[in-house]
Amino acid sequence: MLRCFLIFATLLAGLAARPTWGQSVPATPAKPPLPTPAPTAPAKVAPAPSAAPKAPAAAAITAPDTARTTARTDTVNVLTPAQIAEQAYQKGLASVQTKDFAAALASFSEAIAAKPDYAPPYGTRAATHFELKEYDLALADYDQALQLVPADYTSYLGRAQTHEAKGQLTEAEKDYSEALKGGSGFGPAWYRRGRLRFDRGEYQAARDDFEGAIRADRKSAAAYHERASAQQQLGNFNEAILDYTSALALQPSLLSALLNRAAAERRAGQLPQALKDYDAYLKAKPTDALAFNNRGRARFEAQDYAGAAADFTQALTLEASYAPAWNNRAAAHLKLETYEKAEADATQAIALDAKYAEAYLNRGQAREMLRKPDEACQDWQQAAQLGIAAGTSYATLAGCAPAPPADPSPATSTAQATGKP
Amino acid sequence: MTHHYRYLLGALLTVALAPAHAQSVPFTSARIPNKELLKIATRAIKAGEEDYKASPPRYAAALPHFLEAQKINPSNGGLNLEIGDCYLNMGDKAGALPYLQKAAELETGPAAPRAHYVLGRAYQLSARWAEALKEFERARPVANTAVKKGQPTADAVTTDVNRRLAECKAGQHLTQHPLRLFVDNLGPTVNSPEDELNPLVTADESGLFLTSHRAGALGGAKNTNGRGQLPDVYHTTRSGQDWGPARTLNAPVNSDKADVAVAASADGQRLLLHADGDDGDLSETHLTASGWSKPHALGSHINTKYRETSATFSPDGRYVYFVSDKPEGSLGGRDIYRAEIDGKTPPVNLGSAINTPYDEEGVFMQPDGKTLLFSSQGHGTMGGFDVFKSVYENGKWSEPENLGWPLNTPNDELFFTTTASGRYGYFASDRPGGTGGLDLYRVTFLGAEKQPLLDQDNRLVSDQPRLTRESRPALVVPVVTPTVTLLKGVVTDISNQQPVAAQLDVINNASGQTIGTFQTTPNGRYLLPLPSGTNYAVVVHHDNFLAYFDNMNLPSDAGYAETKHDVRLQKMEPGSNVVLQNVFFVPGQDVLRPESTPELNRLLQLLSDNSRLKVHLAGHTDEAGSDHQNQDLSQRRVQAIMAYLVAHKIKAERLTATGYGATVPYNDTEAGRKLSCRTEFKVVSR
Repeated sequence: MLRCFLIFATLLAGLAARPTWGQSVPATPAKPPLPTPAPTAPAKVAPAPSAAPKAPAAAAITAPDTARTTARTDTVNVLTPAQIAEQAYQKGLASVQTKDFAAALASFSEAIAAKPDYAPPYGTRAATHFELKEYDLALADYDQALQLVPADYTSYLGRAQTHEAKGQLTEAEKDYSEALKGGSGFGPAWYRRGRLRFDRGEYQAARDDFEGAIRADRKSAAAYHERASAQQQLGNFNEAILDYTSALALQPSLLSALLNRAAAERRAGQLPQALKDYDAYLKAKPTDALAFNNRGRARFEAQDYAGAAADFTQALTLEASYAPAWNNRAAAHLKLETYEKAEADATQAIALDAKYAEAYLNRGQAREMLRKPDEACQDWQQAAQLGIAAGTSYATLAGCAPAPPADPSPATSTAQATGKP
Repeated sequence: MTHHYRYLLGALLTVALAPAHAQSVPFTSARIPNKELLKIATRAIKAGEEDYKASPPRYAAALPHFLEAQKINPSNGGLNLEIGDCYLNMGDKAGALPYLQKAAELETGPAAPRAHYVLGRAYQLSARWAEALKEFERARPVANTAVKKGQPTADAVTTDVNRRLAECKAGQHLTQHPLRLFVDNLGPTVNSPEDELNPLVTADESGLFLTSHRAGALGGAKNTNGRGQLPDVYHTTRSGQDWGPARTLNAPVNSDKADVAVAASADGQRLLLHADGDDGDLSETHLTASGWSKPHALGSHINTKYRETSATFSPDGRYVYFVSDKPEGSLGGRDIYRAEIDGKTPPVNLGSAINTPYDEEGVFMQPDGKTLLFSSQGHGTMGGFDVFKSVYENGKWSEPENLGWPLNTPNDELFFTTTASGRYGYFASDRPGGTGGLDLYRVTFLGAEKQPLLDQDNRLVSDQPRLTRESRPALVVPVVTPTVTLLKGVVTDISNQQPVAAQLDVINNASGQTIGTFQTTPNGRYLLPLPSGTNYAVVVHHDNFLAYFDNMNLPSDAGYAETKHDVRLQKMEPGSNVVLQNVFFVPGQDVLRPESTPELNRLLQLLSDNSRLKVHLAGHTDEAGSDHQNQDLSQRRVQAIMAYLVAHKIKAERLTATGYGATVPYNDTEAGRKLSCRTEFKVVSR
């Protein structure tokens, strides 16, 4: 909330729009800008404000013409509707400053009542509604603002964020795209659209958007971080490593960059660097089960199976219900040839996630080595049913009898078989 | 049968008991002033050497005498060497090592190489490769040493040492790359304290023949080499994961002589026996309703005055691969040959790709008909006999591949046989841990290491705790299985479900040649290994029944499969009908394809053999096409068959033919509809 408030305040004040979307770790989605008052008190008499501020919209909304409104205060005593609107508008902005949103809404509404074709109060009222989570009202006001000023890119940005808050992601993406037509001042739109696309798994498009965000603000650690993640998902691990490194240089406290860089390094085969990053991360956050699990995997790939097992154990000490750590420790035990433990750990992973295909595959291996061929066959066939083709190959190589017809609810049957939920 | 594969060091060990080495203490009055003790020691050594130098050596008998002398003088190099050698030949490597180490330390003169050699052998047999290599390097003969009469020349010793060095290097390599497999001793229900040999497993692993020197043999006589009794042939069946008790086969398989089963057909219905006499010939017996037939010797083109000690059938049962020590055509030692069982042409030596200057033994042809497994003391053995595999492809045998550690060891691994799936194998070995002598083992091949799958989540978005599961590439596991299909089932009389002891002919439809003729068991069971790459007709017939025709078209890349197919024969009586599975037409036409000829000729034969037999030919199509087209096509097709028969001198009045189009589906199931396009014949009268 604070971040968005600052965004709007900044825009409203007519300052250079320095988006702050990369400076902290706010809740999602980022919120649209809230209004802020003009730097000087409104005049009693003012000329009618322009009904159609020029782009960028932020400048139009944030720069009421105070010079003009004060010029005639000693000669005109009857306020025109435009002056009433402007006064109410400024009052609303002042209320926003004091976070008196109810008063702000009243003032913006007064302004709109005084002069319905005056666009700025719609946008600021919309932002205030957003702050109060009154998304439908916010959308209505943004719609009105955009009807009055179709090139109001700030309203597109605000409406996009409102749509995003409502889960209307298609509409949100469309409005972010519109906002981006406003030019270089709309870096946040690049970032937000990138996030939407990243969440949809459109990593290439997301990477391009984060690139736009970086162009808009080369000091945004978050933009570098997210571009790195998109690169990692695209399999461009070396590029990912570079971007995570940039993010860390800009914001050393952004520990997720350290954690993710380690993952990228592991996948790039740079195991010593990965282990070093995991060590550094865990020094800073020694209670992160996920990080222990991931370092364990890096140790596994470095063929330090005992070290890997120790990390998985630590992960489970911190979070006993984390199924991947059980599965991974089973894998480490397979390598350590402690097959009973491997079987037990894989069984625990399956108890936590009855559709855990990898755990079935691993348990099948443990059971093969424990001379339980029939049970191994069942596990491999279950893994195959859950989507791992290697399960079929293993079953064929082991001469398993054909699997029974697919159980429509393997999860249920397994849970019953193990007596675990 | 003697065990040539047992290494003999006697030729190398002419132990000088009174060397003048600086460290070795001779048995002389100068070094042992107590005359009484010297007398006892000398007497003990003499007694020990009588056993030690006997043929075959009696190591267990010699050992106590040597140990008695060694108590009096523990620092004689030669005596320590003899003691170590006794232990070694008794299979006690741990017992041997201290004596051999001491001998190698004490012997510094001309006898030193021998001491290092035997110590090297002890290390080799213990799979202590680096130490063995070191000792064998020291075992090279000293230059310009005079060769005493009866001792091997320096060149011979050098050749032998080089061979041992090569074995140790092979062993070092193989143990560094162990295979993933289980090796299980078959346990006391099968193994005994004496030697067990020749595990002959049926293709489906339901039965196992073996040969044993255990007590209780029909002959009851002691084996000539002093190890157990004369061997008999035994049989056991598999119950779940375990083999039941091995039971001796009655006469005529077993006799009061040495009886050895060296080969079994895939279905266990035929055995090749090796009579362990001086000329060691091969004979064949097969299972009949009244038991095993009287063995008849294979032809003189196979049996010679030399010894034929091991053999295997080809999958079609027409050929035999066998081992002989005949010198003619040999590449050295015992070699592997191939010959047609019922032919007369001389056997063919499999050549230098398979045979070496050393002994080959224990030959086995896998049911795929191209994978040969055999033991050899040559190739890349790590010592003694190792099991090797070679595949016959493109007209030549591949380079034999050592089946690897821990299946092979520095001990002897012999008589390897596998199931048709290739996943399980059986062999004999004298490795430590058995119940005595050679024991039988089962090996389970686990294939390449299976890679565990790991998972991790990442927090990929800077300001969100949301987890993203890391993707991983698909795990691709190549599946390579023997290209053979095991067809098995039971033949019964359709009228009463009683088993029928029928004959099965397997025909190559493309060439029309009969590949093999097989017999069911008396209780109607059959088991046929069919190598991939052929379109087979399988004809099941019996004099009192209409023949049954089946088709198995196995593409060359068809992997291992087991297909169960029970056959129900119909008596040759009016109303009985048979589907001609191997009559093929050009699609949409009434033109018979050449592959149909064998089946039509069988029908011809049936009609010729039963001159009063009248049959009705019925043509059927599937539902593709219009009713009219189907009826017309089916009519023209049965007429084409009828024309073929008439052209081959079958009177037309014995035949009727009707096309039924798609009006009579094979049956009402989905699978049945796919089989609807067919030709049948029905017995009208006989």
